[in-house]
Amino acid sequence: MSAAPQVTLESSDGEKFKVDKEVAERSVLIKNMIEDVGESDNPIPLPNVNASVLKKVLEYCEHHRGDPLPAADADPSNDDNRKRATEISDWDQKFIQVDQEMLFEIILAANYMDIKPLLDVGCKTVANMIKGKTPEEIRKLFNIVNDFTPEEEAQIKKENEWAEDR
Amino acid sequence: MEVVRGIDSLPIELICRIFSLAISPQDAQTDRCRLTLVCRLWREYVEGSTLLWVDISARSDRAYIRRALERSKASVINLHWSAHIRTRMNLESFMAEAGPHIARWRSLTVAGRLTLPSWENALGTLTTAQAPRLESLDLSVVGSGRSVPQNAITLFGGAPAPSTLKHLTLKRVSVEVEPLSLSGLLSLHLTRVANISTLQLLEILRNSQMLQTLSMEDLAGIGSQSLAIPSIELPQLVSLKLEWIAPEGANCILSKIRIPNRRQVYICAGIEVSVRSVLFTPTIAHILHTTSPSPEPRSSDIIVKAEISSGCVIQFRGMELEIYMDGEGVDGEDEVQEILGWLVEGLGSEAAACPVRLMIDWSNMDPLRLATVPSPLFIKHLSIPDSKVFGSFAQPRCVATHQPPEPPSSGWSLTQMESLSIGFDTIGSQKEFISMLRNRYEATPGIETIGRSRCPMSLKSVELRGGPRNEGLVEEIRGILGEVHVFWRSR
Repeated sequence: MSAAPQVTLESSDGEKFKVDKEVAERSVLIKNMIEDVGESDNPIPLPNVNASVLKKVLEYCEHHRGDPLPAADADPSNDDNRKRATEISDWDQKFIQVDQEMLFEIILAANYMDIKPLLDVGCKTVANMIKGKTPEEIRKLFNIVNDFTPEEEAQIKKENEWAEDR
Repeated sequence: MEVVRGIDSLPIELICRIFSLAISPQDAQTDRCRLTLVCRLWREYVEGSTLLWVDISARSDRAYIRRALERSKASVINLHWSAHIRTRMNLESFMAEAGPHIARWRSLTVAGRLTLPSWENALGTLTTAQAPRLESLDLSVVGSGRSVPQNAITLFGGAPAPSTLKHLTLKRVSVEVEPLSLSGLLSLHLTRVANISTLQLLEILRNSQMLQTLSMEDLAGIGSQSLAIPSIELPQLVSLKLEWIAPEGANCILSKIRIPNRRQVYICAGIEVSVRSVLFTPTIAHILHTTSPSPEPRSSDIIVKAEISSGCVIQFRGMELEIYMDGEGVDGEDEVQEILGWLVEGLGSEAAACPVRLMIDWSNMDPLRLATVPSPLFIKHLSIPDSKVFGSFAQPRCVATHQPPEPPSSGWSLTQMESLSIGFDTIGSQKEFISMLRNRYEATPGIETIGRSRCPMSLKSVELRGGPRNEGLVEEIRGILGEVHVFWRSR
């Protein structure tokens, strides 16, 4: 039996990763690059993704190598799509239990490499972190400075008929 | 210097996407406001993103709804009006605001009360104009009472429904179905829609061959009709629910559709004469035998739950039958045995590997008759309250209280039972149970034991539950039953 075809990916800090083509092609970016350039022994450069993040992304791609590919035109404002997007499998939940910096790095990498399911998992995870929290709790969570004046804050609350107990 | 990534490192479109996931459609105003109050940049994002304004709910006031309609620009919108929530506008006013934007409606959910003076007037534009991008329509009457708005409502000015419509839910709201020429639906839920006929329903199904979910409840217009139409194949249908449909109507529908990929089938019916007279024609028996060809591992357990006074639920491989004994002289045990008998017929040699888990609680049915399942089915698990233990189950042929005869006679129940769960109401009943075990088991001379176990039959575990708990109960029963795992489960 012949071995599965492989490709080499090169991270921004020069580390090389040899992976099955099927795994690498979970990324639409890489899939398109392979189609455009043809199969080659040269590593595929990923200048926006460092080695630690790429390793993590490839772990995801490896686990989901056989999954059906998502529809390209799924509309995020569709109720159904949003409901589906709020469901994260157990494995994905464990996979995405990382520190905040790594979480945002994974989201950026998934966006750059065009791996929609991973992007969904990342965005959903951040959305879950936000849900149900007060503005102050959100600021604290993401280390955001409140740059509103008290008057501005009062004005926004008035405009939105904001009640503290909501 | 290494840059530490924070949420502000994400591009605007991703932040807005995260925001849209964090905003619940039902209370979008509150959630949007939380985000707006975080900082100036987030406020800009929220106010500038059309995606975050597409959910418009009657929990908001008129000014806010107008702002949402304006900020959602040309995007399609999802409208929610529910009498359940703290509604700030009545339905008529809400629809009046949303009406001019009907070309942008993607979904409309209305859950109103019967007290609405006129549903037709309140729905406004929906009854007079077309909604060319509408994908989901849910019109429901909420609250108590059975009656529906008197006159069937005409939608879309009498024109056909838009081809984009994929999900339709009508609950206690009658709608003129014929002009809609419904087709291409993915889900259809009909509850107490009095004016829909069998033929109309079949026509919708014929034109919706990608249908995935179908549920029908209490549809007075669905009856038996002699229809010379070929079978309708619904290859995508995974979930079918039939509740309180007239038997002849249910059989008519079921005999006309083929649902090879079903995963969940739920049928609820009242039995007035006999089970065969109600639902369980060969069509349904066939579904019962073969449900469900799902990718999940096939469980072979047949679950029989007699947990309420007049009903019983039978579950097997994604099929759930809930039957209620409505008629005089229908006690239910025979019906349950008859259904299990059909399972045996359909399963053939596989039936011997299908254990029955029998759960009894506040049921009027005789547990002994329920437990006498047709061969080769066997009871593997029994859950029973103490009141039943001291009734017919106290007979010597049951419940690990005696050694089965050798060779086993057909009159013996529960010889293959592996687990028993008993719910106790009082300490007195616990003492009585121990006494019964001692009298019937320990006092019987000449009982052969299997290995070192003193327990006859196949019993491996006994769960005791309820309360209050008699001290030493578990230990005492362990002493009687030997190696059987006896444990107490707290409420």
